[in-house]
Amino acid sequence: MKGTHLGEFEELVLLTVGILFDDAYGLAITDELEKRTGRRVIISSVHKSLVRLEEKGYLKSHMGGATKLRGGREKRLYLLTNAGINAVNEAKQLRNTMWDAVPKIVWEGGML
Amino acid sequence: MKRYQPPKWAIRFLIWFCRDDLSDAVLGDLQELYERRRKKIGKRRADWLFIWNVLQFLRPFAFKHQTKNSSKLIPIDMFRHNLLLTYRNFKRYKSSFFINLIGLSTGLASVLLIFLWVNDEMSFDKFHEKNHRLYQVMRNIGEENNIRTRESNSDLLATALAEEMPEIEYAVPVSRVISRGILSSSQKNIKADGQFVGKDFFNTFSFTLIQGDRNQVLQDKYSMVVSNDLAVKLFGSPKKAMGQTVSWDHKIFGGSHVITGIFQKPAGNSTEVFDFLATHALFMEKSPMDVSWHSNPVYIYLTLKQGIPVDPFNDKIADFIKTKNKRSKEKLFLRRYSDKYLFDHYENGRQAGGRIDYVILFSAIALFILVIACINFMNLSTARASRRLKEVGIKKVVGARQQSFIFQYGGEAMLLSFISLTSAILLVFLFLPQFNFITGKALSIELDWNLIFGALIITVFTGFVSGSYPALYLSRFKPSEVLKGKLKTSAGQLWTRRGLVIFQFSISILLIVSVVIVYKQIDFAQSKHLGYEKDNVITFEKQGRLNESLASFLAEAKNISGVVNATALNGSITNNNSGSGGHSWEGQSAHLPSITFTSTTVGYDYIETLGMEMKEGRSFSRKFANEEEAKIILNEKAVKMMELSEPVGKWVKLWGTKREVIGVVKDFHFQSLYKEIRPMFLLCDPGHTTTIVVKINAGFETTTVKKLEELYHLYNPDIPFDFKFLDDDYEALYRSEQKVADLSRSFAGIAILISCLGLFGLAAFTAERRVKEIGIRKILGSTSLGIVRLLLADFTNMVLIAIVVALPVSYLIAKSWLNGFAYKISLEWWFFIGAGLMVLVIAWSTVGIQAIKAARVNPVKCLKDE
Repeated sequence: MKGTHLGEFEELVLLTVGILFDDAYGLAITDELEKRTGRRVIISSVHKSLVRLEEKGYLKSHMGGATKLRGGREKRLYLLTNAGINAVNEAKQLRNTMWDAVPKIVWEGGML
Repeated sequence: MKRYQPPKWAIRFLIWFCRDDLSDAVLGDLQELYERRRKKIGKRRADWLFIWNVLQFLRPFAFKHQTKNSSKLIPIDMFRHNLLLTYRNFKRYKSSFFINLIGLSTGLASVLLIFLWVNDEMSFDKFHEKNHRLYQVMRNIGEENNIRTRESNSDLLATALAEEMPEIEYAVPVSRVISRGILSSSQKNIKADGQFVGKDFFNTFSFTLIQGDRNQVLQDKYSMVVSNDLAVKLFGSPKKAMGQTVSWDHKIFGGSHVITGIFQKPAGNSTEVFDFLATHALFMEKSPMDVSWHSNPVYIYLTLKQGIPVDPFNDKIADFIKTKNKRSKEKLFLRRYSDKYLFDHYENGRQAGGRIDYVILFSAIALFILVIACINFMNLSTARASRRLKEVGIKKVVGARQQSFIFQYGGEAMLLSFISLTSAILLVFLFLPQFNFITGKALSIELDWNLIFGALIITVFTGFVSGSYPALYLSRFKPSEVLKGKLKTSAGQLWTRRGLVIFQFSISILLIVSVVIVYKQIDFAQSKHLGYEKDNVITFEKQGRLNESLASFLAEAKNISGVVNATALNGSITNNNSGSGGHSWEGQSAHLPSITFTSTTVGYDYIETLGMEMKEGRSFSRKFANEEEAKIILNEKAVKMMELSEPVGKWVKLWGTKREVIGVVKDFHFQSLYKEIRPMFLLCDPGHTTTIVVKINAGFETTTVKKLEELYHLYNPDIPFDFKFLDDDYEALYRSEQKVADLSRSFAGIAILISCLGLFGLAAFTAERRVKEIGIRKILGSTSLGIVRLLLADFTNMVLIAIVVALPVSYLIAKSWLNGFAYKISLEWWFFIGAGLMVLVIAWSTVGIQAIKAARVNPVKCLKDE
């Protein structure tokens, strides 16, 4: 089973890569995650997820976009692969079906 | 736009450990983050956060790892592999593992205990702020063919030095005698020890004053500074005590004092221990006859001003006394105050050790024990090398280099020594109370860097020493030979192993001999006839009303059945190191050098109570009660050195008064046996005594002491009856020897134990390797006894060589130790042979168990397989 499961953090990272589209690299993803979730995100954890997601085939990467600000170093830019898109989709589907399975009465606060 | 630079080493570190395809991107990200932070929070915090971020990448995903086309083995993987092999090795050869573990952990525990002790000893008197320029003035006295070194000086010296030498910041006299007495407030009487000190005492030493100003507290002649504890006991609190009047009950110095300051007893180790301080001015007033350049009742401590070098100053003060007293042959010099505790022994004017000898001795013992434990590891792992031949061979064929073996086997030793460290720490916790009991210290394990660092260094050292030889030995095998099953054990290697065993046993023998000799000497000191009888004698202080009614108290005490006799004296019977010179006598020849006399002031019946013998003349007697204070009794040594014939009836002039010699007492020991008996005289002055001495009939101690106590309370209802047995006092003289003996005994035991463990392991191994040989021998008709003898022979030789090596060395060491004593045992041959035999028997029984087991093996069983 190793390799197919998507953790919650990994899912968020995948989505962020999608959001940032053509400028998805470590620090930008970290910033975006912090902004959206309001939690503190450790940059090495983001890199770890990126490495793992690429190993799983959900992401692909290329180098590019060196700036002076980065000491002349290139960014590793990530893009979603088809498999990655499928994976986020599946996760969303799973959520949706589970969401639908919850009886309406729960949402309406009908605690007896 | 200026670019900011994060710490370069952190970047290099990241590049070093991080996989190449990641490091650039990561570094770029971190740099970007750094730029951002740098503007907001400044360099320092940005640097820290950068380093922290780098450290966060120390996770497996980011590490470099082996790619398929790389031939380089990554250290992490090798490390894991080695760890696994080590673990399997430990598991497979449990007996060697446990022998090593037990050996190394007892070794380490001993070292750690001694480390704690040494640390404590070294810390004495170092807490004073001015430690690096705090000195004691010492005196070298030139005698005919010897120089004697004294710590004491004249009352007048401190002031004279401070006035005439601009280099001195402060100079304070501190009285030698510790005056014990009862301090009384309106509510309480407390027994306390005090000293007399100069007014700059608190400027010189860093004893903390919690009340009072350090420039002021000792200004007035009748002021007194008491410890926090004492203030609380007397008045309830330090604040309440300030400005109060206490009366001090002391024959000579007593009177009313005003408390002008309260000090805190020092937390660090201090040689100065006192409950209260009175002024030196008072001391001089109350003992005016001592205030001269001839009498030396005080120690003098001084601080030099900042930046004054001590050597030129030493030259400057050397002849200072001569400017005051022309006849003096004394030279002054300074000694670091913090050396007072450890370097307290002088020979012929030169520093000759002291307590530091014991520090060195025990450090050496600790080191030896550790080395003995390391040797076990070396021997067992090289002896068992044959078992790892194939491992080494295969690895080498596959391409392992020598250094990777060194790393592996060294690592094995290192790991074992760290495992041993944990059990050693447990042992230390377990045995610390006992160790404290023997050493008389209150050591505790406090996690300071000193200790952690020390323990780590010791452990790494252990791992290194025990691992290096096996690592080098095993890694040198040639694969072509070992894979064919050939292991040539060269004579050299065999002798190394034997040599190590011999070394272990030599050290053990050495320790045993030392223990025997120290105990014998102590025993000798305990049982030697001292010239007086120390058994069944009790002493207690003359206090309270006893001061006025000594004669009647003594008379009543003698009436108690069970009391043999009673007297009084000023000072100590067992350890009197007073000295005065400059005396003259009838018929004194001019060529004689000045003689320093020890003196004791006594009451009547002193000589009779202590069972001393008169050589000629008579002892002090009540019959001539009013005249006796002008008489003197000499000891034999004094008569000899003064070159007096027929001394009785001649006069001796002391401090300006002529006294008639009425008798000569036979020499007796008034100091420890380290010291030669010196010339001494006795003066009779019951009024000036401080201590009461009572001789009791043997067998009636308890009841008699009880009756004495009742009598004592008739005189002093409020003061506790606090007595000591004289023989306890005497034993106290040899307390440090006793400690050394007890400690050496424990450590000698440990050394033997560890050595035998090693021997046991080796014997087991030899028996195992020769099992086929034994089988064949048995089939051919050898008896079990023959086989036991065969197996014992090799080990016996080693132990015999150890004996031959160790005995001369131990003889020399014993001799030099005994040389410190003026009175000592003679070295008997059986001390040495006995120790040797003992070790031989222990070794035999260790190896014997293995040998008998091997000899009883059924040859069918051991020859069957294959």
